[in-house]
Amino acid sequence: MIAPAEPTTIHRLDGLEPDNLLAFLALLGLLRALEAVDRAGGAAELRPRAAWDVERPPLRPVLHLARPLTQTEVAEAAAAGVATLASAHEFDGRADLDHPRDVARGLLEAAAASPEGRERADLLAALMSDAAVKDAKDPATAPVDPTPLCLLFGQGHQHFLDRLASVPRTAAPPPRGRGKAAVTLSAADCLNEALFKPWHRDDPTFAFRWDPAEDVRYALLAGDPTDPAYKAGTQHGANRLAAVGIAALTLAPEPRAGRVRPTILGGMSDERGFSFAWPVWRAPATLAAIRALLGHPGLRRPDALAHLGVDHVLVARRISVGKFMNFTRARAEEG
Amino acid sequence: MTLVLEVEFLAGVAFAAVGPDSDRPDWPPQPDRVFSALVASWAARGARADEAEALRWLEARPAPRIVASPAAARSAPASFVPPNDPETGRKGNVAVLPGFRARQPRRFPAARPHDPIVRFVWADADPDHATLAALDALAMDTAYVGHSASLTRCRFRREIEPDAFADARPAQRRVYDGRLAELTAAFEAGRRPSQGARVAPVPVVGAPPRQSVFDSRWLLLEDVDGKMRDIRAAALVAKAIRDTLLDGYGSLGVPRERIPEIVSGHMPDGAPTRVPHLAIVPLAFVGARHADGRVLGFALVPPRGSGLLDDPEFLAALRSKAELIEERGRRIMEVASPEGTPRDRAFRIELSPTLRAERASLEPAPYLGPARTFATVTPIVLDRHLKARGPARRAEIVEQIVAACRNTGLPDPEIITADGATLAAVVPDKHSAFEGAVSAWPSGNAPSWTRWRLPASLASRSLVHAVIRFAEPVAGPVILGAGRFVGLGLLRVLEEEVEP
Repeated sequence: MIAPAEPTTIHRLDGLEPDNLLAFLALLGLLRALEAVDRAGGAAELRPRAAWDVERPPLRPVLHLARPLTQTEVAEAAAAGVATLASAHEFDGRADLDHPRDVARGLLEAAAASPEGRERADLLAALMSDAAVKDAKDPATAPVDPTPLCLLFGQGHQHFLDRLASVPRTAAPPPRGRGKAAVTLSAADCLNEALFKPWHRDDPTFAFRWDPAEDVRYALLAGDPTDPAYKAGTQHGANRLAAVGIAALTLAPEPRAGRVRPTILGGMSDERGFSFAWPVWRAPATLAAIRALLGHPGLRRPDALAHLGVDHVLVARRISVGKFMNFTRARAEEG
Repeated sequence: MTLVLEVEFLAGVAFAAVGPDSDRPDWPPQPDRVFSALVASWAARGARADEAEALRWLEARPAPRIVASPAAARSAPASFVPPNDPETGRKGNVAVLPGFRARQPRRFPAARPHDPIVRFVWADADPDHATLAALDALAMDTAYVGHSASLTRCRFRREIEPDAFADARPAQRRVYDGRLAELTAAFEAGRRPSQGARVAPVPVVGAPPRQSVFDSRWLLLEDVDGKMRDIRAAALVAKAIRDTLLDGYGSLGVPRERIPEIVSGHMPDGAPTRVPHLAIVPLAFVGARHADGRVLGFALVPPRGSGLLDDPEFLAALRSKAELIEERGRRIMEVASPEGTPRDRAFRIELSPTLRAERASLEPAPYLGPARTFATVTPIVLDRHLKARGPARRAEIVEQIVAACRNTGLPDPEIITADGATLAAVVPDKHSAFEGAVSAWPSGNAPSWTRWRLPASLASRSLVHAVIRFAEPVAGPVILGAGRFVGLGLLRVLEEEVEP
């Protein structure tokens, strides 16, 4: 066991549970953030890669770096990367992902044409496509059909773009506790907790309903889940990383049920609704390699990716609970 | 030496869900669930050090194998339960009365095992006397496993006979070194613990599942226009589709007697062929909550291994009858009833050939399995006229269905023992097991036009729905009976049992 203070090139990410979509998106966000640090130059490159520690239960991802860092330094680098990527999270004050088709096309073209707009182009391409729009009389102004990962449409005053803009820019949650006992966290502390410690979900910050723990049902609790005394908090660091991680899941239009609808890398819609699958792979892989695995046509076929080092595949389903949507805890796809 | 943990579900029911979002019971209980129950007992008994040591010994053992019978999944309708004790702060508020308390939906998935005793078997595990005593003390105080309604009696014991558990199956989830500490930390932090580690399934080495004579690769004909007939006329539409295909060969200049018998179903001399040939089956909206039995298309199901869907001549014949309509971006095949059909029975529909369905009801997957239990969507046309009366009639129907399975290359249905008699696991009935499917015959006062329409060659045969269970999973499609080539006797996978 390596002490947290000891620099190493391999970090087991004990905070990221394998069956939690938020944790997987946070893993993608971590890789994106560290790659952004590498692109910014300065210190020697980190060349981040990730794998899963299949041999040592409980199952957790492992971060591989090109040079040794302590856990604190990993969190600091990630915080710097998220801050860089957060600058692309600007949506002109729009709260929901409901751009008219022509506006969406204009935004996507502008982002693609911008020489320094790669991060923004990646983000917008993961959120919408002007090819997949909702039914409307005038197709030119029809609102886009958003990424299936968008679960907030204004219900309960929860707005997706509003949160996608604010969460990455909120470096840390408010101080925990009151008075002299209050603990103020830095951005790096917050990410350190999310990556290396079991989650406590103590933060009163915004989330995206990607964490299955946000599926809070009246009948399973002793109290009123809307009561502040019972209301579950969030793990802010994980949501920050996931907010930048979503840009790795590019949206693509696909014909379905006689219409053009959006799907994403790893996504699939069937008679039970939308589900997202991710592999558990053994060998260290870059973000590009992980995206390639997510887009592999055999992703959900049992053992189809075994030759690529995939141990098994986990699938989380999108569900509706009353007026809210959530993702379930992922389960192994056994075929 | 083998260590065995015996868990008996005293009420014969195991309440445990795969997850809070799932209606599927978790059967058999996995070692991580049972370990958590033992840990709960350990904490309730005062967290004794010797018992903690015994649990740490147990968590370090390899995953046990499980001996459990199959179980029937109990339906899990939404129950409405009061979520909390209201504290309104107002005097005289009737909301505190039980009759007025708010209720919220919750489901209680449960499995009813055939045998209520489950055994967890650790081979080559030989705890010392103190460890076994500590584990057994914990087991004796474990009153439930899973939901608190799953009352249990548990005990640990040593087993000397190594072959006593030859039919044990591998676990799907397990505990590991450090699990007790993890559960304790999660409890103290108020967190729900994660599931145990996944056990990779052992690849099944052996013969592939038995297959029917029909291929699993289908060509779909999606209904795109016209007035689709009711599913009860599916055999007549299937016959019209076949006639259209035969006309397609004709338009290529192929004489009738040269059309392959796997398409026409007839030998060159016009006699019915004895070899499996093309089946044309209806694909209807059935088996879902609001299913209404509408036919959304048909599928051409060739004989297995025939390569018919890759045959250039067949494809040319199909294309000649399904021209590409540029403005609609797809090929359209027009199928009509024969000339001279009475006006109230005439039809003209447009079908579009495709290999990939856009509608879920056109997906072949629900018909293919592999699975053990199938049920009819369209009734089976019995091969012979029934002679028996009374209770013997049912046995005769079952006998004919068993023979129909053999005729299509399938194994015999499972043999079960009930009331001292051995029976085939075939349940014939007037009604289908699927929501939206039409009964095999109308009720007594219904007009005659509500009956299934059959081609003249089958007109006098009996129809029956059935549920069939095989001893081992078989690969579909399962299409049985004398009407199998015109879409009758089409079975779909019925997921009912929770397999251990």
